[in-house]
This record gives sequence, structure tokens and C-alpha cells, in this order.
Amino acid sequence: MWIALIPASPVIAFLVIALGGRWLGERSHLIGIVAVTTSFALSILATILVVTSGPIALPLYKLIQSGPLTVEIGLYADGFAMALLLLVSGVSAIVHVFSSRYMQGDPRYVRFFAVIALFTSAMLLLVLSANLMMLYMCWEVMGLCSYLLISHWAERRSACQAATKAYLVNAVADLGLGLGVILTWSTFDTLDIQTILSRAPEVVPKTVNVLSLVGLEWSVPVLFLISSLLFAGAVGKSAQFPLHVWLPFAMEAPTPVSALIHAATMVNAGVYLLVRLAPLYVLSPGAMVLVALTGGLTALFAGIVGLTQCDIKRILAYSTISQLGFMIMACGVGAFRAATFHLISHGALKAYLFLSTGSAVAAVMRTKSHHPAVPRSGPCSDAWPLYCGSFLLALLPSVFLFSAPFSALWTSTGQAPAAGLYLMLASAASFFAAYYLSRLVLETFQKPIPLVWKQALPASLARPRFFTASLILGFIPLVVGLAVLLAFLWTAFTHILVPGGVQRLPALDNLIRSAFDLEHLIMPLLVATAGWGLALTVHGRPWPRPSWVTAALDRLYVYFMNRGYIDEFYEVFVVRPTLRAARWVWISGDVMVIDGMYRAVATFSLALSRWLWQVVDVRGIDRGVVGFGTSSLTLARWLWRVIDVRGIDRAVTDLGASSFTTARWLWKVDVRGIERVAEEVGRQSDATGQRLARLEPRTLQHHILVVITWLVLGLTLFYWFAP
Amino acid sequence: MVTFLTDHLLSWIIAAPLAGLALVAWLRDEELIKRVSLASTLVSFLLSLVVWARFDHGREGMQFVERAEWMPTFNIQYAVGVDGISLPLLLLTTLLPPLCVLTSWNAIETKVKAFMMLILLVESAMIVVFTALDLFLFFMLWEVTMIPMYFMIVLWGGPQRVPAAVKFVLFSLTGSLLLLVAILGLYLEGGKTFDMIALSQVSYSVDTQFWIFLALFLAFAIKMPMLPFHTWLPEAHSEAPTAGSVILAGILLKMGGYGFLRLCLPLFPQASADFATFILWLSVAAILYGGYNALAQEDIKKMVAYSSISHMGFVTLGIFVFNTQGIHGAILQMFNHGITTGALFLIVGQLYDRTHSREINDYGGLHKLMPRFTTFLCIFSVASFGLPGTCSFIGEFLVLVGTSSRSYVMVLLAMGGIVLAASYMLWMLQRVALGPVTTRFASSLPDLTMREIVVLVPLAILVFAIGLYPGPLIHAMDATVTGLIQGFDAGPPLKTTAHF
Repeated sequence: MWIALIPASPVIAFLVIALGGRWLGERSHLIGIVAVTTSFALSILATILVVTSGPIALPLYKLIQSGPLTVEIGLYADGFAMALLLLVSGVSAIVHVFSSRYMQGDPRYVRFFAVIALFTSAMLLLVLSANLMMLYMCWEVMGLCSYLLISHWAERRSACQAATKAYLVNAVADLGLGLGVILTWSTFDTLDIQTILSRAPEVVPKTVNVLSLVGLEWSVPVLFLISSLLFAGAVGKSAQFPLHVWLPFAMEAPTPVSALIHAATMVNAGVYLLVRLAPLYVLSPGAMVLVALTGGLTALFAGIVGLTQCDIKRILAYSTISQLGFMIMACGVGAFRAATFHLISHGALKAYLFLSTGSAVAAVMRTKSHHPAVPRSGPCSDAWPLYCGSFLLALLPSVFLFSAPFSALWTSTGQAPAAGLYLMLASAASFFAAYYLSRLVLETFQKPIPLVWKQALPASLARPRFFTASLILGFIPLVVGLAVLLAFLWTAFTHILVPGGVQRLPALDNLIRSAFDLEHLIMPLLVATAGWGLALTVHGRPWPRPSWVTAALDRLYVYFMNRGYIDEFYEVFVVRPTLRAARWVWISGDVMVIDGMYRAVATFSLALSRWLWQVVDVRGIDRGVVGFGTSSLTLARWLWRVIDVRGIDRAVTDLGASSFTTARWLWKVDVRGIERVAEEVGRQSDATGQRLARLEPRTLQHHILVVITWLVLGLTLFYWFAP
Repeated sequence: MVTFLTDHLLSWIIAAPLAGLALVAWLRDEELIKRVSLASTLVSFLLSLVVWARFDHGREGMQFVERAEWMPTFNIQYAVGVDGISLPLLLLTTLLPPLCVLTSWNAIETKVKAFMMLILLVESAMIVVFTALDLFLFFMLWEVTMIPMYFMIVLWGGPQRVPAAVKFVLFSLTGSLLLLVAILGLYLEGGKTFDMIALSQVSYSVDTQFWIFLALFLAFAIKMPMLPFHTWLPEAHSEAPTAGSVILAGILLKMGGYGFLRLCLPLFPQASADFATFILWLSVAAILYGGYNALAQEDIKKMVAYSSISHMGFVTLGIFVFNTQGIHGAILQMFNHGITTGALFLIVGQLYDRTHSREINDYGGLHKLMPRFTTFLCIFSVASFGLPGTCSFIGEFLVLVGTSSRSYVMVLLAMGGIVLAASYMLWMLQRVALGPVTTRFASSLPDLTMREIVVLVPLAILVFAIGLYPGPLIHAMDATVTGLIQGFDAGPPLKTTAHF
């Protein structure tokens, strides 16, 4: 149960500092130091426990229980986790001590210690995660801490931009991690890492049709998909090509932060993920090739870029990227133990290098220069720890990467050409690593100290001396101890270094058996020494060469000095188009089309109603009514004038007159006409009668009789039959 | 006495703001008005906590049911009840108004009495909407919520308040009309009753389902708002006073999602399944579309408003995948969005109170002038884009897991929306809070006062509490959601990975 205290004590420190910071002020570091030291001490105890009695699982609580989905927060501590736990809590404790002086007088002293405490606990929890979901959560929280610390000197615009950049690059990478987690859940029905690892061999034959949406068929092994998606997250966090761009800019953070987060711990999370899920990866050869190639390319590219930079921290950043590339590549070829080993030793050494840079820079900082550029070098007194560290680091990749599992490079993929390629990549990268570190040390310390610094030195030496002391006290034992212990007890440590799942797989047995073998050291050591020697002898001195070579080298130099123009590429092809697209979507899509549609509807309704009002209402109905009124009036008037006055009146008058005339005419007609007509009618009747009499009257009577007879007969028959 | 109180808990919760309203109407002293409003909203909140405490987590159906005849001629009842879906929303609805009252304490200078009365009225109406078991009651109070919002925008809003308010009312009215049509259709088809529980027992013909679902969908889509019906939102949100934005974004939008869960899914399973694919793609489109729009904004409140569209896309996405994770996620996302976006509007409002500017470019380097403000802005920004450990992450993660049973392409696109969210939030943070001090308001920017911190702290605590221990909330909704999805053929079963 007390294992939970390892990540819990920095959390408590975070809460205390964050809530009581105003009261604590510049005493905040005490709480942080106590908490992290406690973690470190407990880690040592836990390591002893784990080494003697096996892995410990400690379920804590159910985060989510929704239908079949259960996410259980819990800790899982095995040898591998312990190794990282020691590294993280150890480096963090030393960085805490270092920062307590380094950050003195900083306006955001409290915030700084709160965030690094939170970061430490997130990293410790990540290492102890029993659950992929919990790992993902810690992963993101570390990203946020990194964001907060990069933007620590928030007055600097470049620091803020670097912070946003770091977070967003990682957010893009975490798309892959998040989707990978979801895919893992729907494949395995669980997110518990140990269960996933033990069930991994069962799902090897499963495939997924990734183009089913568009109706095509392209089946991909589900393990390949899961591994690649999770690896995408690692590419972001461990700053692998092509998502490495955030790390050099992250150097805007205070130097102790660079030491803790951007060199020794957080960036290792990606490698940690790969090693933790090693049994899953070895089942997917495709993903392994992807991992190895990404790592190799990164190691080489970052190594070359490191040659051309002239900012100490930036050189160290590229060196970190390059070394992480080594580790990733080692994972890709199946040499998980070598990767773990390199992770730990590199973590300790790189933290040491950064802190020595920090103490050098701190001395210079007083003289108003914020930019730790190489040519403006620091004081000589700080040279030796830096020298020492650089040399160790320069030799480190070659010694440790290619020591024990050297043969793994050939055997794991089973492809000789590919193995040769990996070998070439690795050798070239380690050559460059030796070269740029030697150059860094040379350029910083070989030149005479500029006059400006000489004047500034006496006042500023007090603190660097403290730093140097703390460095020596803290790191030399740590580094030397780790290196010596691990190098000589390699075979014994291999069992601790890699999660137990791997050992159960027969495919990996070959890799595990390989022991610390001196003969494999020869070539990498030679390569490294060559780089080292070349830097010492040739660097900065002209050597005879034809002009076209010079031109080509110049062009290459410019290319790599500009970091391969990758930042510019993202700026031009990703960032600006996105912003432009956003604006376009808003203006052309939302405002003009969609809202425009509604506005059109509104305008149309308004126009319609206005039309209705004007045309139909005002002109039509109103005018109609008015017109009707008017016309009625006109009609009435017309009626009055025409009909009444003129018509009726006149008509009446006329009628009167005409009646009179008629009457008179009638009288005339009466007298003459009627008499004559009556006379005529009488005469005609008489003539008709005579004519009728002359016709045969019997015929007519006969006809009428026949009709009447038939009628009577018909009626009789009808009534006879009808009822 | 005690039983009388406990038997009518929901009615008390509804009545508390109304009682406050009556009291406020009678009072003259502004200080007293504010206190009474705060007290009545707090009473409501505490009573809803009691509901949560006494809530039976194992039961699927309605609890705390109260029924009374209202208009017996038309079978209309006053019927309220709470189940796992309405409980989180009830809590949210009673949680935010006290904070709104507090944040309006000094920000509202004119017509304080009217403003407080509107807050109390809208709170009461929203509680009824989320608890009503009678469709007529539901519809009436759905309408009532619109009126106080209109007056809040028109009387206390920003410079463009009148067009914004009119737009809000026109869109809402269109939605209400469709809702009314659907409810009348349901009344006629479902046996002349407005009782939701009785209506959900009826099985409707395919044609009926189609048409009524369509009307309901449009009504809720306008409220949510879903993609093509959203343009009222950025204007209404940005012009409303702080408290109005908080209520609008924090609670009112959830009425749409609640409507889907309460009416569409249980009543029309067939139509829901038929429309699902369309709605899912629309949701994914809304997530990305809202994100892109938010990225383009120069106005902080508009940016938050567009981010709401994006976040509400997750809600519909989760609802229409018809599985436990999706719907759990959707309800959680509604709750979380209420907290984070409510908090963002509160904090932006606090900035606006000082300077009366919402332009991002008017600020810069606030970390130097207002360190406490910057801390809170940072917390709520990261919570808004779903940093693990904060509340939104749990909701979004559950929705994404639910969606993975339908299509991984949708999951990937929706996650793209999260990356966009991180981009616009961090970019805003970078421009507003970080960098050298460039703001022209430097002299008028004191750090947060005690009252402002008191407003933000509960939300900040909730952000982390839910992010690290969402168990109680998920547990509360579990039984109801399980019952809800039983009738669904949830597309291809969850475990096959043969599709993408």
C-alpha cells in the first residue's frame, strides 16, 4: 500500500504549494524537495521489494464503469518500472535542489515548484500505470506540465509560442495514442496492460478492413494497427521525426526544466511505452520495422542537425532527439533491454549535462543575455563537469547500445539487408553524436573568455559554485554508480530491466541470452572515437578540398542549420492553411452560406411581407377598398347626376311627356285603329269559320275518338296489371 | 411535516425560485433582492442534492413522481419525476443559477430587480422542463424559458443585442412550432394523452415515427444547436449578459439533448435507428465545423460559443450510437459542458466587466496583471478541450468508445475536433494571458475579487472531481440508460473489429 505514496507524495506537495503558495513564497521548494526525496527513498525500498519478491499489483479504484467498459486505476510495479522510478525520482530530487537556487528571485517561483511537483507525480504514475487509460491520462498531464513550464517566462513571446507548439504537436500525435487505446479496448475488452500482453498472441490472426467505409477491402492485422497507433503517440512524446519539432523550441523553459522534462524523464515516456508493450510489438513485424526506421532516421537526422547548431541548449536538444532515436530504434530491432539501459543512462547523463549548462548559463545570465549561444561562452571554472559529461555521453550510445544486444540487430528481424541498414544508421549517428558533443565542449570552453564576461564574473560566481557542488554531489555518484553497476552487472540486471511478458515469448529468448560482450564493442567504439578525434583535430580548421565540395558542403550546412526547414514546412503547409481554412470556414461557410441562408429567408420574408403590405394591402385591398369607395361615390354621384337627375328626372319628365303623347297617340289609335282591327278580326273569324266548315269535320272528330279510346284502354290495362 | 416536504421534493425545488420571485417582486432594496434571489436558488440547489442523496440508483424508472390533475378535459396533468437521465441535468440546472446571481451582483447595474426575477423564472421553468412527465407541461415550460432569455438579451445585452435577441426568438419559435406539431401528433396517435410514460408504451407505425421524429429532431436540433441550425447561438451567446450566456450555454442547450433522450429514443426507436447514420455524420461534421469556426474567432465569447457547437456534437454523437458508453458519455458531456462552458462564460464575463471589450486582440499578457484570473482561465480552458483528469475528458472518452462500435473513422474525425479544441483554446490563452503586457486596459485590470473567486471555485473543484472520480454520476444514470438502450439494435456488436 505504501507504494501508492511514491506518486502520492509529490501530488500532496503540488496541492500544498498550489494552494498555500502565497504564504510559502520562496520556501515552496522545501516541500517539493521533501516530497520528492520521500518518493526516491520509497522507490529504493520498493525496488528492493520487487527484486526480491516479484512484481506488485495494487488496484486503487474504478475510474469508469460503463457497460462492458471498466477502467480501473491501479499501480503495477515490476523491475522495469522500478528502474525508471529510481531515475525519475532521483533526477527530480536533484533538479528540485538545483532549482531552489537557480530560480531564486523569479516572480513565479511558487508556480514553478508546484508544476514540477505535479509533473514528477504524473511521470511516476505513468511508470506505475497498470492500465493503458491511466497511462494515457498521465501522458497528457505531463504534456500540460511541459506546456506550463515552457511558458514559464511568459513575458517572452517566443516562450509562449514554443509552449503552444509543444502542446499541439503532441496533441496531434496523441490522436494516434487515443485511437490506439480505444482500438485496444475493443480488441481486448480490457485496458489492463498485463492482461493485454498475455492475450496478445491470441489476436495475431485478427485483421481489420480499414477501408470499409468507402466500400473497399484492405485488411490490416489489428495488432499492427494498435502498435502503430500507440507508436504515433510515442513519436510525439519522444520527439521522433517528423514530430520532433517541438523539442528544440521547448528549450525556452528554464534550464532545470529542460534537464528534468525535456531530457531525462518526459521524453522517455515514448520509449517506456514501447518497452512496456514489448510483447505486443514483437508480434507485429510490420510495426517493428516502422519503429526501427523512424528511430534510425531520427537518430541520424538529429545528429547531423546537432552538428550545425550554435545554441548550447539546442545542441543538447538535438542530441536528446538523436539519442531517443537510438532507443526507439533499439526497440524496433527487438533490443528492448538495450533501449531501457540507454534510457536510464542517457537520462541521468543528459540531466547532468543540462544542469551544468544551467550553471554556466546562470553565471552569464546576470549580464543580461538570455540566449545561451555557444560562441558567447561561459566561465572556464565550469568546464570540467561539462567536459566530463560530454565525453561520457559521446561514448555512451556506442558503448551501451551496441554492447550486449548487438547481435540482436541481425537476428531480430531476420533480414540481413535491413540489419545492415540499421547498423549503418546507428554507426553514422553515433559518429555524429561524438562529433557534435566534442564540438560543443570545444567551442564553449576553448576560446578565451570575452572581456564582458570577465568583468561580470566575480559577482556571479557564488551561485555557480553552489551548482557545481550540487552537481558533483548529486550526479557524479548517480551517473558513475549507474554506469558502473549496469555495465558490470549487465547480465544480472537484464532480468529486471524488461517487463516479464517478454521472457515468456520464445521468439525473444535469443535476444535475451546475449550477454555483455566485449568484442561487440570494438566497432562502435572505433566509430565514436573517430568522431571525437575528428572534432578535436580538424574542427574549425580549413582542409584542402575542391571548390565544388565546399559549395556542396555549404549548401548542406545551411540546410541542416535551418533544421531541415521542417518547422517552415509545418508553418507553411499545416499551421497557416489551418488558420486560413478556419477563417474561410467561418466567413465563407458560416457567415455567408449558412447564416446567409437564414438571412435570405429573413430578407425574403421581410420582402414578401413588405410586398404584401405594399402591393396587396396598400395597392390591392386598400386601393381596392378606397377604389371601391371612390367608385361607389362616383357611381353614386353618377347615379345621382346621370340616373337621378338626368335619367330618372328626365325620364320621369320624358315619361310624363311621352305618356301624354302616347295617350294622345293611343286615343288616335283607339279611335281609328281599334275600330279597324276589330272590324278586321270579325271579318277574319268569319272567313276561318267558313274555311273550317269546308274541311271534313268528321275526320277530326274520328281522330279525337281514336285517341280517347286508346287512352281509356291503356289506362284500364295499366290498372288491371299494375297492382 | 417532514413527509410533506419529502413527498413533494421536486415541487419544492420548482417552487423555491418561484417563491423567491414573488418575494423579489415585492421588495425594493436592491441588496436585499440579490440576497433573496441567491437564497432561493441555493435552497433549490440544496433540495436537489437531497434528491440525489435519496435517489435509488438501482431503479430504472421515474422516481419522486408527483401527479395532479390540471386540465382533465384534455388529459393534461401536472406530473413531474426524475430518473437517471434527468438527475444530472436537474443538478446542473440548480447549480448554475446561484453562480449567475453571484456574478451579476455588481455586473448588473440597471433594473436589478427585473434581472433577478428573470433568472428565477427561467430557473424554475428549466427545472420543470427537465422533470416534466407530461408533454403539455413540458412544451409550455419549454416555451416559457424563451421569454426571460429574450428580455435578458434585449435589456442587458451587448451593442448588437436587438438583432441577436430577435434571431434567438425566431429560431426558438420555429423549433417550438415543430415541437408543438409533434406533440399534437403524439397526442392524437398515442391515445389522447400527454403522459410521457403512457406514450412510451405505445408502438407507432413507421410512417408516424418518421414524421413525428422529424419534427422533434428539427425542434431539438435547433435548440442543441446542431450543424445547420446553429447560427442563432454565437450571436445570442456573445450579446447576452454573463448570466444569460451561462444559462443559455450551460443549461438551455441541454434541453435539446434531453429531448432526444426523453422523447426520440424511447418513443421512436425505429425512426431513431433510421436517422442515426445521418445524425452521426452531422454530429461529426458539427464537431469539426464548430472547431474550425472557433479557431477563426477574434471575439472570446463567440469563440466559446462556437466551441459549444463542437462540444454539443459529441452529445448527439454519443446519443445516436445507442450503446451504454455513448449515452453515458453524452449525458456526462452535457453536464461537463454546462460546467466548463458556464465557467468560461463566467470568467470571460468577469474580464468584460472590467474593460467592456471581448476582442482577443485587445488583451495580452494578463498573467502579469491578473495571475489568479489567468490560473482559472487556464483551468477552464484545458477542461474545455478535455485534458485527461478534467471532467470533459471522461465524457468525450466515453462517447468515443461508444462511437468506436459504429466507425473508427468517426472516432478519428471527432478526435480531430479535440485537437482543434486544444488549438483554439491554447491560442486564445497565448494571445490573452501570456506574452508581454500589450493590453491597452492595463490600468483597469485588477485581479479577481473574493466574490468572483467564490463563483469560480465550485466549478473548478467539480472539473477535477468529475475528471478523477466520475463514478457517482455514471452510477446514477446507469440503470436508466441500460433500460433505454435495451430496445435498440446497436448496429454491429461492440466487439467485432472487422469494420472500421
